[in-house]
Amino acid sequence: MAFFSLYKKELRESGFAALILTLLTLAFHFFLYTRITAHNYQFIIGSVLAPFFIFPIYFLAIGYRTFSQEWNDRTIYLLKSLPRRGYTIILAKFLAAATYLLLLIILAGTTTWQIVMRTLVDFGPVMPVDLTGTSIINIVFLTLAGYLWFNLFLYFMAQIACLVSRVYDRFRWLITIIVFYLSAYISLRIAGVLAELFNWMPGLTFQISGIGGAEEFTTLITIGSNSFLSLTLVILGFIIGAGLLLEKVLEV
Amino acid sequence: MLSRKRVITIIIILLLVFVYIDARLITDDQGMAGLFNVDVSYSGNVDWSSGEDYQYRSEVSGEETYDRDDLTSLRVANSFGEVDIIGESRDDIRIDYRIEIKAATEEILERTIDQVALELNHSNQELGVLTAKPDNRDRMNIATYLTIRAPEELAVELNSRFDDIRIENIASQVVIDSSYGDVELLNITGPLEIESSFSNYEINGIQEMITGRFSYTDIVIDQLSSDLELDLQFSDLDLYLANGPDAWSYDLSTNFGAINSRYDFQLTEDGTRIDYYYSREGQPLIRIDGRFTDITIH
Repeated sequence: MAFFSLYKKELRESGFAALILTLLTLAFHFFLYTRITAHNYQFIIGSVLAPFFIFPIYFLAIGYRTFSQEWNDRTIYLLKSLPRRGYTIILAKFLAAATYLLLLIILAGTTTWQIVMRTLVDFGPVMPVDLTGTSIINIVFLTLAGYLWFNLFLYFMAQIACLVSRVYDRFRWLITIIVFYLSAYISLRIAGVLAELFNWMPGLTFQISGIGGAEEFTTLITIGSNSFLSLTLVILGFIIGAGLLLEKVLEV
Repeated sequence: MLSRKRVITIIIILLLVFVYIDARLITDDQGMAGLFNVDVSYSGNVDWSSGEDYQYRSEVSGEETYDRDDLTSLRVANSFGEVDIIGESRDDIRIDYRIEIKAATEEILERTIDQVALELNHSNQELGVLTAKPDNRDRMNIATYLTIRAPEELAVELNSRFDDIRIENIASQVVIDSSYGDVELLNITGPLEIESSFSNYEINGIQEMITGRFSYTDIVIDQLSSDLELDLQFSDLDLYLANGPDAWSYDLSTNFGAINSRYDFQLTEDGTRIDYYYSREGQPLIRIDGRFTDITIH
């Protein structure tokens, strides 16, 4: 029950920022939708992706803010007094942020799709590459998977940097930046070593084929499933590490 | 006993030292490359002319002669490699072919040489010409160069991708589906149907109706003397009339484009659309519908 209460509280707290981001995204895409002409549609197709570059910044800020706010509002006493393990608190906060991220991706994805489809209908093919349907699904899947992993890493690195900085009374910004850098470097190195241990696992193959320029091409992208497993283990490490830090090290 | 703060400080300092040393020692095959373990393989007839990737090369060439018998049409399908079809006064079909193979390894080359061949299919009074190729064309390029001399009364259907085409002296229907190549059509006295993209067309001396759908293609039609019906997208047209401008009916329209002419055409504009319509009883009709297309009538 405490888990869901915490989840709902986090949704409420970061709801306003998410709402602002949603409205800005909608307004920006509506603006683009009403401005498509024959002279600028290529620029519009490029600009339509801009919100997807803003969302990671939001996720990074949420990752940092989620605990610093607890200290600022002096609610960390309540949080630490909850009869829950540290990792469940981390998970509840993470799930709230992930909920907003998914909603933003779905919303921005839908409006992007509308703009691209309108451009296609009005001005014909806009891509220099003619891809097969399966290839488009594969590209969208790979891009989305990479995008989600990227955001997850940003969130947890910002969160752990914030928690470590709370151990100190001074130079918190410096500590935050150093720990953020260290966690990025070390987590990717550890994931690399773990990937080596699991390289007996099968590869996932994605085929992308079509016609581009004067070429008929097929590209096979094989990604070892060990990469996904090692990244998952590193993220689990983040959750457990942050949980232990919250539970055992940090004082109110 | 060290305080927790001191322990964490020591850990951070040790990690910074580790990162400094590790970053200096790390090699290319460690780190991110090792983590993501991504293998990307690419196949396709890429940059045939440079040929730097595939150094093992060979070719299969020959000549086939086929009796005309009951044949009424010729169908050619080819990807990569030039196609010349020449109509002549003759009773047989002569095909000169050269199949070029490039492969990444000697083994692939040798295996491929045994699997490529010119394939002729005779059915329903039609002769089909195509190249038999292996199903798996990974790490190789195959191009077929064809010169076909055929009776001029044979109808021609050509499906071609990624190279140049030349068809001349055909006295029957010609149907072309092509993309990515330069196309030259000369002295065709039968009707002409074209569907094409990403190409350049030069059409000269056509005596019957020309019907075409073009995208991303530049077209020059010289000595037009018949009906013309074109659907154009991102394609520019230069049209040279065999007779003066008064020998034609016109139904021209382009959206996001221009209609240029040295003649006194009274164009109408509606937003981004420019139209010109003029009907003359019994005269051949030039009907063009374009998007992002400039039409120039000389």
